[in-house]
Amino acid sequence: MTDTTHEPRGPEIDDEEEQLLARLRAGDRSAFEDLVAPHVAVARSLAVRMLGNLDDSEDAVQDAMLKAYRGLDSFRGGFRAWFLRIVYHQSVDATRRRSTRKGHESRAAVSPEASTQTAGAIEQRETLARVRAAIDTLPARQRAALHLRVVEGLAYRAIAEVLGITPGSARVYVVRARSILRDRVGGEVPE
Amino acid sequence: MNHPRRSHFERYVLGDLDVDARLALDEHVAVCERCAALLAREREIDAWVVQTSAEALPDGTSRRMFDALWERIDEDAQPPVTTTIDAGTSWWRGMRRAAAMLVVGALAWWAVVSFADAPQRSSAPEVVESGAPTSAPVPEPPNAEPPSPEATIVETTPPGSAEPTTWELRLAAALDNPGTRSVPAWGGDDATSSQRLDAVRQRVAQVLLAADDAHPDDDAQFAAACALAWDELRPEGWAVDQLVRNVLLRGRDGAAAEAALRAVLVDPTAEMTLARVLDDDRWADAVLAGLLVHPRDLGAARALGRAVAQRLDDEERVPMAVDVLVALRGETLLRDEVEEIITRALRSPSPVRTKSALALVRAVPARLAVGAWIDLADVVGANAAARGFEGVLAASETEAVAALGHALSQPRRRETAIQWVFEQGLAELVPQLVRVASDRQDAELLDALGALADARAARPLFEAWREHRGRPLDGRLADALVALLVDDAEARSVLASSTRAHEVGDLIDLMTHAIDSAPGLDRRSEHAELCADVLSGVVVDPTLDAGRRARTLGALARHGHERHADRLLEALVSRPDDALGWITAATLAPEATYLTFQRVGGDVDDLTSAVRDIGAWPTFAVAPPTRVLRRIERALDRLDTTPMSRSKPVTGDDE
Repeated sequence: MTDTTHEPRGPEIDDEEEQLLARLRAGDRSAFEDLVAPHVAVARSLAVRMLGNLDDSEDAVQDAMLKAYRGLDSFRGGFRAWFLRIVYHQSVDATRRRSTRKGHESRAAVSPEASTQTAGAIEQRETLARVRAAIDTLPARQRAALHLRVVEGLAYRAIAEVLGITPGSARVYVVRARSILRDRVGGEVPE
Repeated sequence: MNHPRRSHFERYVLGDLDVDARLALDEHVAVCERCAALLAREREIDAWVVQTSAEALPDGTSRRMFDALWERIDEDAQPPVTTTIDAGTSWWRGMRRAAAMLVVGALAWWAVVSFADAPQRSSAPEVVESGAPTSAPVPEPPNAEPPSPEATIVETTPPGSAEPTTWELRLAAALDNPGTRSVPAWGGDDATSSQRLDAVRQRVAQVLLAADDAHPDDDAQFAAACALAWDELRPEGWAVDQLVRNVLLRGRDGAAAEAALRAVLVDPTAEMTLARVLDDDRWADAVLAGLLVHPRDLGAARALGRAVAQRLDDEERVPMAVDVLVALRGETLLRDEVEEIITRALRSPSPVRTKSALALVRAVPARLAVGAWIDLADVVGANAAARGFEGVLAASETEAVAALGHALSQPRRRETAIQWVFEQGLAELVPQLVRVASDRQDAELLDALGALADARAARPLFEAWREHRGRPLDGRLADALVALLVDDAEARSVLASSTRAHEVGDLIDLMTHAIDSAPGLDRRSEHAELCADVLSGVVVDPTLDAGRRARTLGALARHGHERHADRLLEALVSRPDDALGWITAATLAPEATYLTFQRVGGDVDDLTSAVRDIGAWPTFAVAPPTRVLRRIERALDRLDTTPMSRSKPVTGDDE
């Protein structure tokens, strides 16, 4: 077959990150912001995917930032994967803590009001609601792998670093997640 | 281009195809509506995922988060970076320091061992250190044996001059004499053994060619020569070369063809010759007839299979080729060879390709058919292929499971194989597949089974782990199962609800492994929580005998999972006489337990007295009884001052 073999980016730390870490060790707080800022959007997006609402996800990212700041001495390899791994685990932990609470509170806040929509838009909205429900039922790793690949475009190797799995397993998680979505939301496949 | 498989479209949208494959697919979908629709559907799935993701980060969000971060850090007055293992006094910091010392000690030990080992390694041959190939041919010492008279005869025989009787004799003489194989004149003084053998083969070929040229119409003579060559060459394991084959294939009748092919088939490249023969309609039938009389000759049949497989690229010859393969039943073919044949059949432009491939896959033994069915899935449909696999399974479960295990270890078939196992209701095969992986020491297959499993596999994986305790890779299997349980709440629920009384001991061991093997304190705590989920699901099972439930409860108590007392208490409301349950609940959540116990009409003094004897319970021996008792006493003190404790006891009917 023709799978690509040239996946971008390994776990190596780059020079810029090294310089930022040196500044940070010297007590320069702004270096931490420079280090984290490029990854905040991805982190928040991942947390929203895992937690389902904006408030909890920002809390999770905030906690992850604090954890990263305090745990920089244990940091090895690429910062993005390390930081996203913390975000992922914070999100999973938050999901479990929240498991006794009922439902996701702010889903509706993300979507526009149904009354202002056309029939097509309502149908689209219902489809997306089914998609969200299907994604929410995916196991955490599948959900994260799917999101990081499809939405964030990360290489399987990078996803593997975030989730602590092999690149091959990362790909299988993505494929299985898509397969489940296809089955639960997709309806008939054209022949 | 044939219609690509659906997985091809998926790879396309996921960006897993290289440029050439993408361009080829682009060209195809431009003219194929069916495939364009399939591709659009795959794109739609990704579009859904994107549309349901969070909106872009609003301006100022990062700034707000950083401000909040610094505020929290300043409030905590927690010095950054260098202070995570500081001179704190809390117990966990002590543990971290101890762990760090252990790591440093281990590294020091490793360094000492490495240095001690270094001289031995450095004394190894340089060629090994440099990674140079170690299997390069080693020149043999020059052979000083003089040429034999027979060799000289053969060597000096001019082509075309041999008489029918003399060339046979010369050939026999040349082949019978071991000295001919090391004649320097045939390969030069520096020739290797293989070069000398090549020289002998070439000389034999020249002799046979001369015979054929001298008597082109004498088929009997020619067949005899072929038989002679065959009989002489075969015991030596020699192969006739291209020139000899060309000579032999001049046979004019079936007998000659058969003799020729018998000789040809000892050659590892025989299929090339056979391919040419099969291309010739005049000889194809005779050749096949000749070959099929020797199906028990393993080498011959393999060569036949490979040769016939090449005909699958030829539309007109597909039915014939498949007929031959079906007649052979694939029994003499290797798995990879059958799979290659199927692949070729599927790639063939022949309209009968599917029918032919199906005929073949139905004819071959179970061990060969599983991978083939997987390959056929995209052609005949997933359900039909799965039914085919089930047929194989019914014919020989052992072989089918082994073959499925093989398929699972192959990346290109893994997806479908997993789908069969977990989505076609074959999850009960997991223990057998684990056995296959264990027998083969196939860690990759074990990882695949574990990493790709979902809740339906929780129970089979648990059974497989129980069966494999103490065997190689059981730790890896346990890790896979723990990973599934950590990742999937449904899996935990399935395992908790399906664990039988006699399995509880193993379940507790697994949970203990899950907790002990978790990396870092945070993850350990997380695993402990999840394990408690499972265990608390087990302890409410009224069919569990007292001893096993005590062990489960003890495991819960050891790890101090107060919040799981809720579930236990819910169950205990209907079982006021379950002393063990109440005692354990009291150790988990004293206050809630006493309140509940009062509600169901229990005597708090009795429970207190039972709890005070907790140290006598072997199950709780590892828990710190004094700590538990202090907690209980504090709970009782609070209870005495709580208005509710003096209220009239209520019963479970009030629920």
